[in-house]
Amino acid sequence: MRANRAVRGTQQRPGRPGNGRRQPSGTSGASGTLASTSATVQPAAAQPKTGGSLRFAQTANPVSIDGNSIAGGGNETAWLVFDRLTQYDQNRQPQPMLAESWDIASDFKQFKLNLRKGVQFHSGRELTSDDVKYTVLRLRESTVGSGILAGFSNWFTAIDLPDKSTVVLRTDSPRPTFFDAIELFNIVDKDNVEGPEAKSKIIGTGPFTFVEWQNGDHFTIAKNKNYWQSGRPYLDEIVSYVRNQQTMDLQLESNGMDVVKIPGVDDFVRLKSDPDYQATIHPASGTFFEIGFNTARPPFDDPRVRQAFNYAMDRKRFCDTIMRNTAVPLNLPWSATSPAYDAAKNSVYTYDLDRARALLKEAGAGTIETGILVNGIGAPQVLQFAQIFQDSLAQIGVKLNLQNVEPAIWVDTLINKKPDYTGLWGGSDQIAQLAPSTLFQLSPGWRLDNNHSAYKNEMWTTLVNSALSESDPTKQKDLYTRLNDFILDQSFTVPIATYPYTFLMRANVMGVQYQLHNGGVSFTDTWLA
Amino acid sequence: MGRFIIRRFLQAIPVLFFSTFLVFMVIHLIPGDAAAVLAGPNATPEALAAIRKDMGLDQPLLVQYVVWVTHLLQGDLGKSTLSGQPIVKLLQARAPATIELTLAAMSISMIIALPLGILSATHVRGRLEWFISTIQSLWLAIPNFWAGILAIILFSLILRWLPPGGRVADANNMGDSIKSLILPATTLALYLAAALSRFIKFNLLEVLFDDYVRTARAKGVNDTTVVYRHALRNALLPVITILGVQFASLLGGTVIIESVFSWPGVGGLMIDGISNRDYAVVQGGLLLLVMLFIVINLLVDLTYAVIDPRIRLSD
Repeated sequence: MRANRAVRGTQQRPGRPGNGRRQPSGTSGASGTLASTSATVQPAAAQPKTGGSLRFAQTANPVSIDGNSIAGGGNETAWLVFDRLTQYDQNRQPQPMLAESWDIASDFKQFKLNLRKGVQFHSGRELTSDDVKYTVLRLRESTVGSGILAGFSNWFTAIDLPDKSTVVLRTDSPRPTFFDAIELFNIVDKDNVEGPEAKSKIIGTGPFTFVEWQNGDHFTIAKNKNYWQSGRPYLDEIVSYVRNQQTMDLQLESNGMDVVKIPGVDDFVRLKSDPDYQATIHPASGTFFEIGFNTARPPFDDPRVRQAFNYAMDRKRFCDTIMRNTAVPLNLPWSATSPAYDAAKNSVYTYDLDRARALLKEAGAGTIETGILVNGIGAPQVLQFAQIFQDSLAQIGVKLNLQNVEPAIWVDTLINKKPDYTGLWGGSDQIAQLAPSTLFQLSPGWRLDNNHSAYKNEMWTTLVNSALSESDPTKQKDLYTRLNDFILDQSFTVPIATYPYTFLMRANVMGVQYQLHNGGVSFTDTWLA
Repeated sequence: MGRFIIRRFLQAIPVLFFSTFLVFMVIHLIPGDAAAVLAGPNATPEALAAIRKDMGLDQPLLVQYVVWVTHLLQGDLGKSTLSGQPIVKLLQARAPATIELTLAAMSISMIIALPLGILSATHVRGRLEWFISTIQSLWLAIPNFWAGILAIILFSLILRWLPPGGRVADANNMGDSIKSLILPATTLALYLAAALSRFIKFNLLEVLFDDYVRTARAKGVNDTTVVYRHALRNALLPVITILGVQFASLLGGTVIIESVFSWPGVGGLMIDGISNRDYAVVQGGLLLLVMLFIVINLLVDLTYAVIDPRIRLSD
């Protein structure tokens, strides 16, 4: 392995075991502890208290608790049972987790991870490099349902294990966004996932141990008393409930819940100024609403028609009325924390029906009647946007029919490009907080192969592949500018607005931290005042 | 009677198979499947196809059904297509909640309906009957979910007497368990009570004008004895049938109340199963509901015989 000058990192949290630290010498090793670099949702209070049970509620009902399944719950539930190798801080700098240091070759094709020693799974078995390799390979198994994570896993063409605490991952192409991948790899216990209880019990190395899962109702985890991060977690227990939005909001108000994720917009706005509650929006969830066009079929094979539709989107009305100003209009996928963010370009498509009409005329589009396929259960806000859009389009002579379908139909229709998918699709996306090229590589709305918009373009492929392998920040910036221009011009998939991941918490909940994966928060440092 | 019961159970077997077959076929006709749910929107067509194959969804429908029935005959209800959890375990977790809610709602509704029905019948065209009729109409007119929301706002948010949702199933904490049951059970019961009390009223009115009641009155039997000892017993016979039907329909039909109060019952499990195309869950849930329905119908028939000695269950 070449000596790494470009990227080497090592960091320790205070009080962690194995604190024989090396100073970071590269760009990725940001200073400070994870606790201090990850943004906390609220100001830290003086002295954390240990103990207590946190009651958390969300509407999402995980269909699986498998740590490697993309359908396996979220940050606040099953993920707390696991650890990842590294974890981004608020500035997208990787911080040590199970990997306490790393060496990365200057061509970004080889990644050596030095694992933290003495870490144990909840079963008592010691974590070794075998477990990391097993997890990376398992993510490729289609039956696990790892979704985009399989794409990340496929980067690695060789995985070597020089010893039980070292993993060397090799790729054929440069992967400067390596940490995007391992940010999402929950390291699982082979004995558990291949054992008889795999579907009903999970074992990881994380801050909380699995207690109970009652599918559709609650998920209970308890403090891992042997957690490698000394003194954490503070809480004794977390019970995560599945509730409908209205019930969980009411339960919060009647002191039946401590934290609710994505409450009703009206409740969020109403309680924002109430001192008994903390109302926060994840600053870098990377989630946004979007609409795409079936570019393989007329009239949407003509970019002018797509641009016309883009001009007919009243994003402001959507953000003002439906989202009650909790969302921000977007022309591009990036929120302000992204390196690809460009404020000027983000407002190119202002609501302009005259311009939309003119573009349709220029394209010779004639009378258009089309449909928009929306998953009203998964993204009800997009359904509401579609109604506003329908009204706007009607004013320029376009008839838009709403096709509100269940998630299973939505996915099947778009992935397999079923015959009844003739016009538009609407949904939400979730990985714009990572490197921009990661979104283009993996998101179904944007990826090169079989994206929902059926969009193919040589220039697009070249630009995305260049962005994926480019590690020089200046050249990256230039590529992002070109990609942004391309997206705006081609309008094959069109962002509408940020999808705010909102949280309502009781005032005594302290130390909740934002995470850069899945728009979630972590309760490792959480305590109850 | 023993032979009667055995015969009824034997008659139920084709009903079970026919209903599961029907639902199996219908649910498979709906576009989309569990593979798409597990794969998520980020999946590739290849990954989707692989999951589909792994789940056995690429097999012909009839083959899938035969596989399910074969497992069933071996006492294996199978596993959830998505979560992999045994169906028996899922039903064990949900069925008590549903049965508890149903029993509570039925009991409350009877407690309310019986006096209301009797009072309405015995005060025909009076102010009391008018008042009760108004209440009944209101309860029937107000949708369950709305009544539930209003109840939560009043009793949970404003008065803070009762929890707004969720089920506490803790034998060591009966107080909280009962508290968590009150709102959903009462909300459900009010609608039932309104319908039931009207039914009791009309049945009782009919019986009160029968010859044997007139004879009893002519013999100088007082009104209370006439109503409670002579008329009510006969008037309640058809009510038992209605109760049986209501009970059975509630077992799978409390979905809205389950949703409003986050009550983890079988209805919600079935709805999630249908939405996620988790065929094994839907089939297993349906099987349970049909079996319960059959048992309840049988119990109704047996109760008839107990209440009315003239009825003999033929072998």
